[in-house]
Amino acid sequence: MGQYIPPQNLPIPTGQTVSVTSREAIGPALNVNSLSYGNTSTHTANRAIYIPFVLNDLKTYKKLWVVTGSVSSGNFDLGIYSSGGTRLVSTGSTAMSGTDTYQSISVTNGDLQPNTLYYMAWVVDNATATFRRWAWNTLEAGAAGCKQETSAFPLPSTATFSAPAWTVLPFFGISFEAAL
Amino acid sequence: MSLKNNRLWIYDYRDDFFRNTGLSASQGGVAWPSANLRLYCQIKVAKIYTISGVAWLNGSVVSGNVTGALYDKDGVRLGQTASTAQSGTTSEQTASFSGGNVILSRGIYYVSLSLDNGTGRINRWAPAVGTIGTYGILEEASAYSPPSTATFSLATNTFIPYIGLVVV
Repeated sequence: MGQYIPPQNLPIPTGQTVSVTSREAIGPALNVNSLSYGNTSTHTANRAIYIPFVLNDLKTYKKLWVVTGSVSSGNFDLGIYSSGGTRLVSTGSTAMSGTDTYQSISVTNGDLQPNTLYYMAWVVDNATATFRRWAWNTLEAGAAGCKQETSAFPLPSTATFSAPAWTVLPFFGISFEAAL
Repeated sequence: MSLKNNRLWIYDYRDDFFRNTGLSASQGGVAWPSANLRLYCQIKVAKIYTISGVAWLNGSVVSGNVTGALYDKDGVRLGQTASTAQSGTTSEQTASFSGGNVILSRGIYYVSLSLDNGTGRINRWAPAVGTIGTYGILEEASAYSPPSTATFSLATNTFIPYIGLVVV
């Protein structure tokens, strides 16, 4: 038997957090456009935003998180969906807690397979709460594979994906480390 | 990726350091948040590397002693340096693992640093409000001597130290 030479050209490992800005998600699409990052209240109540992502490794999700803005109001819901729209996990309706903070919520752990399309989901039940966000446009959001669904609070067990009409992307993601 | 100076810094392979969420640097460094606090910084290893120790950038004030360590993603210690006097203002300092080199395969690890005082300065990035957790920064109080198993907590300071690994 010849000498074992391990492969040296494997993809970059997926980290312990993945967010909308990760290369596993739509990070390249955001970065190439130098989008404006800030704080806004112009989210449409009950309209779910779905962001596609593909991991490089098998990962076990443990928390879902969002970065809140300067105004705390009402509730949000975060989730993960299969490519077919089946909800794998969600936080359920969760009260916003604190302002300008990293709010992470523990969920029942589950595995995400590598090289498999999933969606991370966010929705808020009011148009007063603010979240740290990027201002974007619907054409490029659609080109990046993003989706939406109206009247989707709390997040439905089965998503009905449609083309994005939102122009504000909140900063949210998934944690694979229980302390994050 | 070819290493340019035998260093694997925490921003290597990381896209979160390059997004526009207001990460600001401090060239003169900032005092360590509190004595004996240990910060754990996620580091991505994309291929097999042999690691000899930890590297960091000192700020404009050096004081007391430093310990560096390397952990796997589950918090198990893989290597640690001896307690080393912080030395050399506004310059890179390195310390080798006491137990010799560590061979890393592709994966996620944590490189960590602790100072035994809150006076010495380390170059650092300050994340924008509310985003420290998005960089995967963890901490543990009263952990100047690197624990064999880390007890991770979400970082509470806006302090991402400029640290990395020394590659053989």
